[in-house]
Amino acid sequence: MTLRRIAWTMLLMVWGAELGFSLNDTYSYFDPHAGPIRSVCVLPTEAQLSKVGVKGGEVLPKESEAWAAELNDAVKHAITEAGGQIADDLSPQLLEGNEQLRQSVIQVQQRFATVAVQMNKKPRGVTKGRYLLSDEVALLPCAARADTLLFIHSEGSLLTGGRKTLSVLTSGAASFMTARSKFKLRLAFVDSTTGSVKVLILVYSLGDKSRNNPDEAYAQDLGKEFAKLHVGAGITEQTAAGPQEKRSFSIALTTPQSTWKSGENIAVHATLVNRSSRKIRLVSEKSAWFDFEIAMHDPGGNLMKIIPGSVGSSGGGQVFSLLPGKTAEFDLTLSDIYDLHSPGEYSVEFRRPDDSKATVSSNKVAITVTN
Amino acid sequence: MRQIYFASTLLAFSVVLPARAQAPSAPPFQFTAIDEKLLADTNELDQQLEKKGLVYHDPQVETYLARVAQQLLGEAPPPEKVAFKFRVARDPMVNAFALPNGSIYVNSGLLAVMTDEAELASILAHEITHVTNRHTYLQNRNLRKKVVTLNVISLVGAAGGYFPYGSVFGIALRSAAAASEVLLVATIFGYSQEMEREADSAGFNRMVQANYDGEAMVHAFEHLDEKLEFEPVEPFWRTHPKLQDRIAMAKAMARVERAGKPREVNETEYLAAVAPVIRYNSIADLDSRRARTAIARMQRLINWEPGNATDQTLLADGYRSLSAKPPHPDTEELSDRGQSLDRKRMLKLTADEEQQQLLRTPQGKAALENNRAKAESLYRETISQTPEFPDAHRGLGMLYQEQARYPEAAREYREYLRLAPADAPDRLRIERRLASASGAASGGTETK
Repeated sequence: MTLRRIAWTMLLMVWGAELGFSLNDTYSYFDPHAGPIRSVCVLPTEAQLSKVGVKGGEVLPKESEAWAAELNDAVKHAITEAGGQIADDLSPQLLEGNEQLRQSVIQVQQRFATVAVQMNKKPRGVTKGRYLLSDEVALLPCAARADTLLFIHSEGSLLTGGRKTLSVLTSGAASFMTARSKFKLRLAFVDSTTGSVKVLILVYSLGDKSRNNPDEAYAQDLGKEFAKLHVGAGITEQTAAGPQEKRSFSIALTTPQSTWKSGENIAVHATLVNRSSRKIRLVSEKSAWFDFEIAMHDPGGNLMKIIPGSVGSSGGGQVFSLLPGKTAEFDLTLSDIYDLHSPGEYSVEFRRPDDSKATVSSNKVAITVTN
Repeated sequence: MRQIYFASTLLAFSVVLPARAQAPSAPPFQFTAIDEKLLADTNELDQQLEKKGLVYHDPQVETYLARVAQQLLGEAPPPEKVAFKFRVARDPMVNAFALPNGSIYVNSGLLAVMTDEAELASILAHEITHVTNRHTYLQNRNLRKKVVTLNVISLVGAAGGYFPYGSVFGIALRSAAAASEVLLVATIFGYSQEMEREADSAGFNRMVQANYDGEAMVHAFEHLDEKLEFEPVEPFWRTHPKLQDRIAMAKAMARVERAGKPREVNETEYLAAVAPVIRYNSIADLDSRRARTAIARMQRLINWEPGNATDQTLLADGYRSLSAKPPHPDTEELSDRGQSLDRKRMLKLTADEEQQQLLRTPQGKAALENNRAKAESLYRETISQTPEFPDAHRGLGMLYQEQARYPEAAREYREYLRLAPADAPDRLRIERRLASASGAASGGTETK
C-alpha cells in the first residue's frame, strides 16, 4: 500500500512537471547611443536541441532544424507585433539558391562569432558599445534596406520521462526546477551600418513550451522587451530624452537601393504602424504622402522644395482609418516631386504629428545619386 | 617504456606492410541497428554540410583530391555501405575527418598548410583507415555499452564555448558534433589511442603502396604542430596520443621503408592544384583573427608565383589586419606561459581592445608602423603592376582611412568602385566608406 502511494505520488510529480507552466527569465542590454530598431534583416537562426536521458544526452539535428524555423517565425512575429518591420529574412531556403549571398552570410556570421565569445561572457558590455562587427555587415544586401541585423541563437535540453523521474527521485521539491527542460534564447540586434551590437536580449526558460510552441512561449516576454526598447519607433528617442509616453504610431522608411544614377526613378517605401489603442485617420494610399511632412535635404544639407506643379490635382484622396496594431504601407517616387538630378548624397525623413501634437519622425534615409 | 612502444610499432608496421586495405582474413563487419542509425545520421550530416554552404566547390580542386584519393584506394572495392567521397570543408582549422559512410572532409586550413601531394596523401590514408577499419562504428558501440559517465551535453556545451555559433574556425567539426555524439567525440576529442595508432600505421602502409614517400607523413604531422597564433581549442592530435610520439612513430616507419633515400618534395604541382583553396582560407583566417596565418600562407603562394595581384593584395590585407601585432610570435609567446596568456587575452578582449592594449607598448607602436608600411608598399606595387585590379585599391583605401588620410582614401575607393564588377558584394560597404571619407576630407567628421 505504501509503495503504491509512493508510486502514485511520483507519477503525479512527473505528470506535473510534464504539464507544468513554463518559466521565463529575461535580460536585456542596450547601447544608449545606438540607432533605432525599425526595420530588421533576420539572419538564419542557429538552434541546437539536445535530448537528455538517464544515461546521458544526444543531439537532435533534425529537430533542431525544425525548431530553428519555428523560433525564427516566433521572433519575427514579435517584432512585427511591436511595430518593427522585417526588411529581409535570410532563410536557409533562400540562401540555398544564392551561393554568393550564402558565403556573405557566413562571413558576417564569422564576424559576429569573433565578438560573441566576449559578449556571451560579459553581456553588459553591450551598454558601452563594446562589441563591434565592423562595416563588413554591409556585405549583406539587406544592410541597405534595414537599419538592424538580427542574429538569433538558441540552445535547449529536452528531458526524457526517465530523466524527469530520476530528477523527482533525487531532487525532491527542487525537482520543480530540475525536472524541466531548459532553454536559452539569445537575440543580438546589430547596427547595419557600423556593425555595433546595439541590443542583446537573453531569455532563459524552463518547461517544454519553448520547444512545443515558441510563439506562445516567447510572445509576452519579447513583446515587453521590444516595447521597452521602442522597437519600431526607435530606441534613441527613449534613451536620449528619458522615459516618454509611448508614441501612438511609428514611421519607418526603406529604399530598395542606396545608389541611383541621375535621372532614374528614386522611390522610398514608408511603413506606418498604429501603436495606439485608437484609430488613426489617414488619406488614401495613392497620395498618402500628403499626410506626411517630407524633409528632403540636398547634398549641401539644404531643405529642398517640391517642384512647382509636380503635385497633381489627384492629390487629396480618400480618408480611411488605420485600426490599432495595423500597418499601412506607401510608396513615393521622390524624383517625381524633387529635382534629384545633381550627383551627391541626399537625405529624406518623414514626419507627422501624433495625437498629442508632438512630431513623430521616421528614420533618415540616405540617397546617393551618381552620374 | 618508449623503447617497448617503438618495438611494438615496428612489429605492427612489418605485419601491416603487405596489406593494402582491410585484412582479407578479417570477418565481415556485422551491422547492428545502432550502426544503421549512425550511418543514417552521417548521411544526414553530409547533406547538412552541403546545405549550410560549408563544402568548398571548385572543379579543379575536387578533381585533384579525387585523383590522389583514387591512387590511395587502388582497385579494391569499398567495404560494405561505404561510398568514398573526398571533399573540402570551408574551415580554417588544420584538420580532416572521416565519416563512416566514406565521406572524408579535408579542411581548407589543412590543405593550406600541407607542402605537397605526398603529405596530403598521408592524411587521406589515415582517414581512409578510420573508414575501412570501421573505427566510428566501433567507438560508437563502445560508448553505448558503457553506462555513460561522459556527459555529452556538457561536451557539446564546452565545444560551443570554443566554437561560438557562426564561427567558421571549427565550423565543420561543430556541425559533425551536432549530428551525433560519437562524431563529436571522434572529430573533436579523437578516437582511442589504439585506433589512432592503427590509422597511422595502416595509413602509412597504404600511402607507401600507392608510391608516395612515407616520410611525408612525418612532415604532415610536423605541420599540425604549427603554432603561429592562439587557437580557440587545443586540437586533440597534439595530445592524443602525443603528437611528438606520432611523429617519432612515423619517422621509425619511414626509416624502415626508405633506408635513407632523400625525400623529393613537389610543392609546385601541389600549389598549382590547391591555390584557390589557400586563397579562400586566408580570407577565412583574416575573419577569424588569424592574420599571422594568412600572411604565412600568402607569402608561400607569392614565393611560388611572384607578382600575382590577388596574392599580393591578400598579403597586404594580412599586414593591414595585423595592426599592432608582429607577424611572427617571439620566443616568449611560444612558451607555455606565453600561449596561456595569449589564450586568456583572446578570450577576454575583442579584436579592437587587443589592438589598443598592444598599442600601449613601444613594440606595438613599432609593429603597427612596420605592418602599415609593408601593406602600403604591397598595395602600391600591385597597383603599379596591375592598375586595373580593384581589390588593391580597396585595401589601400582602407589603409589610408585607418591613417586618417581621407582624400587619398576617397580616391582609392572611387577607383575601386569604378573597376569592381557591378554586382561586387562589397559595393555597398565601399560606397558607405567613400561617403564617410569624402565627408571627413571636406572638413566634416568621419562617420563610423
